Amino acid sequence: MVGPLLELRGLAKRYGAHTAVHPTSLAIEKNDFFAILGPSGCGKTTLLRMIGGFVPPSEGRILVAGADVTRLPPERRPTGMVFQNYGLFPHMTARQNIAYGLRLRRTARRDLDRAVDEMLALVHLEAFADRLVPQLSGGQRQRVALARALILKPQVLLLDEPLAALDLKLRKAMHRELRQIHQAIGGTFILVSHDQTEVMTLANRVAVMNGGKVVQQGAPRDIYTRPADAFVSAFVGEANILPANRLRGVIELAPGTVLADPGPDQPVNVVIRPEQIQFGPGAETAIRLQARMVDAIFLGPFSHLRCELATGASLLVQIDSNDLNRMPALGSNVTLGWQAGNHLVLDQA
Amino acid sequence: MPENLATKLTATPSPDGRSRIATIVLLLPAFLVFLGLFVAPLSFFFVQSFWKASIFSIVPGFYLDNYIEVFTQYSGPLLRTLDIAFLVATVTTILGFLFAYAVRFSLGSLGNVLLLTALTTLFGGYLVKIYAWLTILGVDGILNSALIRLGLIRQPLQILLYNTGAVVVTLTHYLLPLAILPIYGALREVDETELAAARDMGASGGRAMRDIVLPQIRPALLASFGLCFLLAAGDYVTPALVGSPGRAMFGNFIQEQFSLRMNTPEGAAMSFTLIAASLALLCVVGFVINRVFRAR
Repeated sequence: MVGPLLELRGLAKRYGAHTAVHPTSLAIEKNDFFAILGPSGCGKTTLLRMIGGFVPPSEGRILVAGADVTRLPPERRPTGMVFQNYGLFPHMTARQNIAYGLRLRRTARRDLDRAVDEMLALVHLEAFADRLVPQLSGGQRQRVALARALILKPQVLLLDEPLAALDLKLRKAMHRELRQIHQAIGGTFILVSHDQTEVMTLANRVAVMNGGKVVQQGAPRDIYTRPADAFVSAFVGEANILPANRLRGVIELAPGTVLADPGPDQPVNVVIRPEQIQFGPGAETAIRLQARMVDAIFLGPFSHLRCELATGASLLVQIDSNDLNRMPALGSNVTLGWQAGNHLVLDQA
Repeated sequence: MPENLATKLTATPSPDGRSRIATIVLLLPAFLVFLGLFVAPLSFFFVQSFWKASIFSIVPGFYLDNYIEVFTQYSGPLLRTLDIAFLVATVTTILGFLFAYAVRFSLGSLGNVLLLTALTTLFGGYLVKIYAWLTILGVDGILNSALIRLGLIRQPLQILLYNTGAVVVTLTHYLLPLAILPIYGALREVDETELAAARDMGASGGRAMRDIVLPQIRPALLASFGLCFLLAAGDYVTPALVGSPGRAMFGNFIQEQFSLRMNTPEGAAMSFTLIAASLALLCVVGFVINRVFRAR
């Protein structure tokens, strides 16, 4: 196919004086698992609902496979949506819920039954097919909602925080399953989420939204390693952000610790991930800082140490939990450091 | 069994037992009121409906004469009354559903204002509404004056008032808020996302209403219908004030038996016939609503 499957051109939504989504242009390729990541209230759900046809855009256009669908109602769009709270029909069984879309299309009984059985198998719900929705658990409901949307083979499947209501363990199991389903049946998925782990696990492309704008898009790994600004660096993964000043191409992080960084004189943020920081007096690193260890937080396979610089700034350092016993006592002075090139310097806006 | 005895002796009253006593205490006043003011008088009149009125006295016994008279003398008014009540309840339930649906799903905050307005009319009282319709539909009424002003008619229309149509209009106006409430309550339980999902899967608005909304609110539809039907079937003030004198409703005849003719056994028999007929009709309507709006 020529061109992207889904294209947004300057799509915006305003409610009176409030702008929920600033003009946004995105191109989503066929078979992408595309994620829109952002904090709550950033406009990501509004953007998704505009694609689904539930919110009329204030301006801009939506094209699916080159055809303009901006003015079409949801029932006439080639999109399918999985809603955050599922919107299952409580007076119907799992089977009836899944069959509903095909019944609207007057599919012949035999084809319908076969398609529903296939879907039930895909989401592992064969044993629960004839239960009413209120008799299903949260995870089972989630699967019914997914199957109900997938059975219509939408050109674009829209997932609005579909796993937000599930507990962590179930959510992780569903991540695996969603990946498998996407690999098995293909298709273009757009996921809205505020959970960066979910997005990293599932998506091959990500758009990060903040304040109604897409602030960065690209592959998850690129966004993690090269965040466009301090917001992205802090939202996608953990990040230490140290404000500093650049003067004649030199940034002074602390007395005696300087980074060479060519650029205009202005305030900057130095961003360094907790796992990039090395710990201990023997660390052979280019950049070194003196700090005081104030807290140690056990997180399972790894742990976080919180250290305070003389400037008052706080730094999170990630260590292997096996090394936790060899750490100096809380309150001790320690040396931290990282290799040149592991940090990022972002101009303060 | 010393062990069991010990448990029994030391056991505090189980929360279950305690809550059962609390439940009884809480229900007792309502139960007594219900027994004294509803069951007892109704039973008394049920027994009396088999008695016989003779001149200046009522003879206890077991006679079916009263019921026979209901069917021979009053079957016309009875059927007419069921007919009018059915029409009123149907119209009111449909209007109530449309109103409640718009308030719940389409109108946003304006909906709440409309709902409150509809409920405020309940404060006005029943007679006030009847007199309001008298002034609207009367020969010198608002409607006639307006039509004459507009040049649509020359002479005021006489046919607006004192007929069955006026009874239906007045009762519908009176009962509408009562029909809205149960339906609106049931619609609040229907998640908007369900409608969005149905639309997303290809259902038109009307189709989503039929497949998703109506099956879920069947009990409320029957409740609204039943409430309006029973109040309309038992009403005798509205037909007396705005209805046709020659086409009185069953309630007017019952009232006549109790007040003018002093024939309480006949009045009781007529009342129980009306109750039985109404319940039978509601059973049929309930069955139909359940079938027509079932999940498919």
